[in-house]
Amino acid sequence: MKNMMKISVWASVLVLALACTKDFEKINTDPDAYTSVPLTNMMAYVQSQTAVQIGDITGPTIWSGYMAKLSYIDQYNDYIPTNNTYGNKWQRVYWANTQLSDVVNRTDETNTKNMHNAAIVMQNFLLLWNLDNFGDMPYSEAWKGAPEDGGILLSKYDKQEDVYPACLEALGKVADSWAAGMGSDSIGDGDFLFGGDAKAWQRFCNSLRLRYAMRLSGVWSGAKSLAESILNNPSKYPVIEEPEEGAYFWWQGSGDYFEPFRSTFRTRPNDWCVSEIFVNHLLSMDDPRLRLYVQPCREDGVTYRGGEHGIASQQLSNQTRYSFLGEAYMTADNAGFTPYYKASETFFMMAEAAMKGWKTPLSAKEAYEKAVRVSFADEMRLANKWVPAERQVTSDDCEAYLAAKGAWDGSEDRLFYEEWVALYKEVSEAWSLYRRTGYPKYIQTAVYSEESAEIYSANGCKAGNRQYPGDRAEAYWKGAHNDVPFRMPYPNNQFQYNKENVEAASQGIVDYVWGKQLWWDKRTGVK
Amino acid sequence: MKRVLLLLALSLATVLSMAQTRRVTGKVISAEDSSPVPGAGVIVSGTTVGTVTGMDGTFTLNVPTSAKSLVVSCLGMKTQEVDAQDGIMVVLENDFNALNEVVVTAMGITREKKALGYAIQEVKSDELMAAGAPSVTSALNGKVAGVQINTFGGSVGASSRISVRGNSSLSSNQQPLIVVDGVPINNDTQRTGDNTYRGVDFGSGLNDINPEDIESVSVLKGGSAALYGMRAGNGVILITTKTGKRSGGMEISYDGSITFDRVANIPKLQNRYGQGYVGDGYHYQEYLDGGGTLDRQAYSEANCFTYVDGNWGGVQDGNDESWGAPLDAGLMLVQFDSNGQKAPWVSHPDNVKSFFQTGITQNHMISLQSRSEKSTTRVSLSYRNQTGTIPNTDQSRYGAQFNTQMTLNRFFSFDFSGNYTRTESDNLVNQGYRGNNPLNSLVAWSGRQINMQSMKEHWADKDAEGNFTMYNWNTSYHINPYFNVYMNTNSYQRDRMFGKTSLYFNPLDWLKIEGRVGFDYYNSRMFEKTYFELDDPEGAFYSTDIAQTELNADLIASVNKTFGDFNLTAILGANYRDSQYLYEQIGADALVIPGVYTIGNKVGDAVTGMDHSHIRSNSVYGNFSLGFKNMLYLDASARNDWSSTIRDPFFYPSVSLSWIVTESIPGLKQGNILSFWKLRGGVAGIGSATSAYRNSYYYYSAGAAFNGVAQMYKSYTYPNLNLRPEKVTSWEVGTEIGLFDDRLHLDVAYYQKKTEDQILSVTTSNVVGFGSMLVNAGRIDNKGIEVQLVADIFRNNDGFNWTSTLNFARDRSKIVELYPEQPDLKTYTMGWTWGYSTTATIGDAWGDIRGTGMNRITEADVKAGNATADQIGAIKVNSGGFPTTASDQVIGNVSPDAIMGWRNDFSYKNLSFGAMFDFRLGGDIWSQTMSHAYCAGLAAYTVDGDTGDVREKPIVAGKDVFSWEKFVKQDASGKWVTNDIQTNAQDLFEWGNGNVGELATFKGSYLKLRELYLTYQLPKSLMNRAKYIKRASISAIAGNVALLWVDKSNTMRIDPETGGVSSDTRGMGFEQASVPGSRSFGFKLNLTF
Repeated sequence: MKNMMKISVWASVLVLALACTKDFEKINTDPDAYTSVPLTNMMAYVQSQTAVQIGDITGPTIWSGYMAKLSYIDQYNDYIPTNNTYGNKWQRVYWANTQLSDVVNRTDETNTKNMHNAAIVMQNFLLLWNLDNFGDMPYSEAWKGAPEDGGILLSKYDKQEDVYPACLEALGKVADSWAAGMGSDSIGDGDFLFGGDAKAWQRFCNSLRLRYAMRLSGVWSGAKSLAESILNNPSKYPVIEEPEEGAYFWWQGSGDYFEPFRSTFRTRPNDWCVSEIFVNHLLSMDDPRLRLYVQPCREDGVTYRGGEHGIASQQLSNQTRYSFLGEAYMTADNAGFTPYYKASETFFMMAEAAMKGWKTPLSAKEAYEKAVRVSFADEMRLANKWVPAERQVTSDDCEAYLAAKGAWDGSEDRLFYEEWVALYKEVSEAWSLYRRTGYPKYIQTAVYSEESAEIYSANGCKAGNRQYPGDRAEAYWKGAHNDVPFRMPYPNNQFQYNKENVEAASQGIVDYVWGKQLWWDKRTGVK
Repeated sequence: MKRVLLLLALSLATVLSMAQTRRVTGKVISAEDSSPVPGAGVIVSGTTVGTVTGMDGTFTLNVPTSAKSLVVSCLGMKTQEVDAQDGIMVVLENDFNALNEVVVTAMGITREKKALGYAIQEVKSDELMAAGAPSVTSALNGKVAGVQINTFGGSVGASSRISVRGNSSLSSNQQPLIVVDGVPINNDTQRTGDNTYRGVDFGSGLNDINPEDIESVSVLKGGSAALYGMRAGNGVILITTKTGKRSGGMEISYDGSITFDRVANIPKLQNRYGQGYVGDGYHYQEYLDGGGTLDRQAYSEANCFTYVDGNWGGVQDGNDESWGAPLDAGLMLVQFDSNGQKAPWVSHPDNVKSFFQTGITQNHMISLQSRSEKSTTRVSLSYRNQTGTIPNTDQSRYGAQFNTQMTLNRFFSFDFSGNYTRTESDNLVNQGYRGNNPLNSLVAWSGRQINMQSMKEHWADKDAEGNFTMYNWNTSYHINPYFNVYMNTNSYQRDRMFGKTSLYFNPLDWLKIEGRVGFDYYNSRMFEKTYFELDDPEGAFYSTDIAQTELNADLIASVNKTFGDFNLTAILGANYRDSQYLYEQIGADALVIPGVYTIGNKVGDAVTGMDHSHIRSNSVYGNFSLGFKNMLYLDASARNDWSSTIRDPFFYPSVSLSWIVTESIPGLKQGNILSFWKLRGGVAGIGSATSAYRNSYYYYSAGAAFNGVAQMYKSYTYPNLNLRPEKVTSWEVGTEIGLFDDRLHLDVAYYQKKTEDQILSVTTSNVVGFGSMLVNAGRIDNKGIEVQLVADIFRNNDGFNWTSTLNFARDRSKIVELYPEQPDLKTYTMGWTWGYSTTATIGDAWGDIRGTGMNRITEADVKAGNATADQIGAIKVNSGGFPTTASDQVIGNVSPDAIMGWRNDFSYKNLSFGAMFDFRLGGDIWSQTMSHAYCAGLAAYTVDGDTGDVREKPIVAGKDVFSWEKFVKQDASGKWVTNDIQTNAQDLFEWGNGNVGELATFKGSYLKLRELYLTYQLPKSLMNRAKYIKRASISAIAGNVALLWVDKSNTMRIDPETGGVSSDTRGMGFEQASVPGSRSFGFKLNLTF
């Protein structure tokens, strides 16, 4: 009888234990996850997440000379970065590449050509942006961490000399693929950049190729032929030429997706203002776009006054003296834009190519004037509706400008200052323009005014001191640096988890961001 | 089966009828007050024949004629052996002797403590509740050796984190399993936010239990938990609720308490300088030296502070720092509440304190207990209401508890216990750094001159259009704290039910079979509303529902049989567990109409979220204990688990041995010195399983859509298909010694544990295609010692009694290995905030705080000949005299060096008095409050320093401030010498020049007087006159009485127990503008009818 009891207990135990495990696989399947998702929804997330980084207000907004800080003029915010200051930008590029590779792998050039090509364009647009930010980066050994992909957890860094051309080659393939005929598939609703318009992606692809041909024009032998092939083959390689064709990321304006500049001003209206060198340049040129680009300061509602960089104070008192960005550039509906490629860039580059003596459809003067006209048209299109009538700009203003201080004089000065002005808010491009050409030269020449020295004398601000990298940073670095950062610092993640390789890549880098210029940055006298 | 039973019954009946018996009646009374003792066991010596006494203490028993004596026993009383005579009167004495203590062990098995080969500590209800603790966690604090309880701040309903025997896991949740009456219940923390910077703490699941309903709490620390297998890795807390067992007949009791809570331990702030900049004597003198000619009044108006709009329109009026002009010095400055006029610039030393109010906490409970021969029942209804020290914060809890046990016949019995709790709050305060934590604008960034009265009077002012004016001292970074707590509210509603029922079948007197079903269910609703906040200027709301349900079904057979000198107890069981979780959130980040919190009022997309989890497991387990002659006990247990979250089954064994030396060698007891000596030891393997869905590669959707398009992505964590549970192997040895008739009782345990195969989300280089990999890796070793010392210093039934109890524990951990396949992984991050992380670093103890620290002299400097060995650790200053920094430094460790609780209970006749102290040594904390209060010049230390008046003179780091640290400067030859470079307080404390972030890390040592009580038991004589009242007592109680001592580095005297914005491991070692704790005083009343 005892045995019977034991047997019955054991039997029930075994039945319980073994009979019920067969559902475990099903139970452990996440009902909130997917085994496969539509490609356009992946494209959607990649675009919004990378836009958060590209549209970010920190760093290049100052290094490009557009903006200045009013509060938290902390040494480390912009001139004394730490490893991780810009780590999210890097992280998002590699993350997006994983997502986009998945899209590329699940598409092909026959039935899903448009999505396939668009994903490759997006991929390389981000990789090139990352190269501009950080320089050498893991490429040939990247995205191979999974055991089935090779299990490479420590990836070596590839030289920019190798990665830039590789990216251009990938874009070239897409350009030729589309040149042979557009696909029939839809990129879908998840394409916030171009609304699913494959033609627009084709233009963006070729425009990027042109952009990097010019960026590498001083260092890469393939630049000239690439630029010429694009500029002179508009039917095979169409580029962005009309304002409406430009690549703008328009923000949703709600939820997690406020336009980032506006979002910053919305919650912290006293942290940033427009830079003094930008405002003063526009004033000195009588450039009508000043009225769109910049708001009069709150103090009197009339004066346009920019803020100075790096003053030896934590905060500037009486911040109402300084001008904010124009209304269109931080729209009250939170749904403004982040520019990725403005149509005027095409013509500024064409003008530059012409000045180099390359074969171009327009002369340097024609291309320059077209560039300024397109820039005006673009800004008028974007900004006029946001400002009161007296600040609106017309095409007559543009012609008057081109006839006066904006007139073509054949100089680099004219070309690059104008390009800088036109690139407003496209901060990464403007920072790269500065690093490649040295324009705006103010970054090397601007000094504190008597007025600011007077106001901030209690904090040790001295008239005649260089604005860049600023009194605070100057004191900190003891004069070791005279320029804005050459690059963004490699992220902490790499120093923690890919130490040997990032340290090898960091040879020559001084104080995180100086010491080693990018491949195509051939300026001298900067430190 | 029926036939088996019938056979069984028949055979038993035959045995009984065949034996010659006689009838013995008797009564059992208590020696203390001669009252009847119901429920005492009466057993014929040497047999299993027995009964229990009835309500009136009487018993009737048919005993074999051969029987000579009866053994009479009752929990808490000394067992007696008496002659088996009819009509006897047995007088049982109260048992002070801990030796015969009976404790609840794993699976609810009641065992004699002396038989156990491992450490177990039980806390009884009177010990828990003497001082009227408001929650289970606060009641347990300091009362069990090796159990550390962190309560996260002094806000109403704050959550707690419990760790048993130090920290040995890298996962964020490593709290012990909570088991109530044999059934596991959930102790999830309900917290919203990001666990990094902000959130709202809605409390711990454990606090759904009314502490007054608890009979006892047992803590299984190491191998003793092995029977719980893959849920035992972090220890187990067993809670036994009160039953009707202890009552005589039917009793109705009322327990009530009311306490008044006053905010205590507000961080120490200065009262000598107001809002603004460069206003102190040092800067004014510098101005004069530079040729300035303005007088102090004019200088202050022009440079330090003049209010226009609180948003940088005036002079430094958007500035939320207090480096301004001296207060109470006769200056007149325009201020936020002076209508544009100059007004006296004076201090308001109590402005922070006056924001807080007196909180009131009241508890009422009516319980009914009944006991009959066949059943015991207890029902309690309780109500608790608390208003917080922060205005407009509150919590109510309604509870019902029901417990019944019924013996149906010789073979069948059952029990049922059920618990229902409703917890409600209209508002709980926001925490962390979001602008709507009012503490930030009180103790972290503020103007010290603010008149809180103006803020209180005008927070609700509206303009002509009916819009709030947002009246505040500063409008650039802050909103009025009153506006905050009245308009930006977080409400809470939670329904919790848990319970179990067991059906017992006793086919044989030595065999019992139990079928048990237990369930646990809660539904929490959190509703966070923001009317206006600087980060949410258009308002916002989030409504979050969480439901969790767990079903446990067990079938357990237990055996208790004596063969000669051997006693065998064994159980064999099987468990089925099914746990489901649901999370749903809906809300909006911006609203069309302010103050209307419904989804139709959203701007743009709604914020939505949904998450499910489903886990199922099956287990079989067994435990076998063999006792020999009451002196030697061998225990062995085994458990095998199958879990849906992990592919392979897992096996957990344990074995332990207990030897009562004094039983084996009675000679040792001679001389009445050594009364008891036990040696014990054991080894066990236990584990921690994982959450659901971690072993597959998935795609997910982002929380929000963009332009109405769902956003989806591939997981960026590389999954692990062959995940294993964490594996903990522990061994322990211990001894218990009773001296002088056991008046001094010492229990010491030494343990080591090795935690391996941790389930780690290992961060990888982020270029490899994913950002992290899920791996089983890592090894953490812990070793520690626990000491419990109980001394009955005075013991006199009719006179003065003094019992002193000391609990001491020390745990040492070491990270031995992380993930060898990723050699660059030297540090694993567990928690993070403000650039500081809590980490596990190979070779270090668990819980290093890492972040930007001071650049200090190292061996390398000494080797290079630039510094001397005694300078190692000194902080290097730059040419300005400011400390220089170095990134990624270890700046502290969150694990305390030792924790200790010391209780003293005194009684004299009807009076009893008790005090409990709580001590912690070490356990570093990085404090956001301190970091910001230094930067903003709020901390008293930024005025007093170490040499006084540091804002009035040039100062030197290491001499005038931070004198417990060495500071060195580099001389012309490059050698490091003692720093003597003069600077000033504002530049040093402000981050701009002197980054003293590391120095906002303090040692979390403290000594606290945690509890006090004074109880008066109304005398029997009085009670006899009051017809309906059997017993009555009244107590004066006090909780969190005083923070007696803190380390010097804690310059602001911040309560080291307050926490960050995560209630789990991620919040350890961080303090973030937390609500200061409160000191409560009140009364407690017990009436039994």
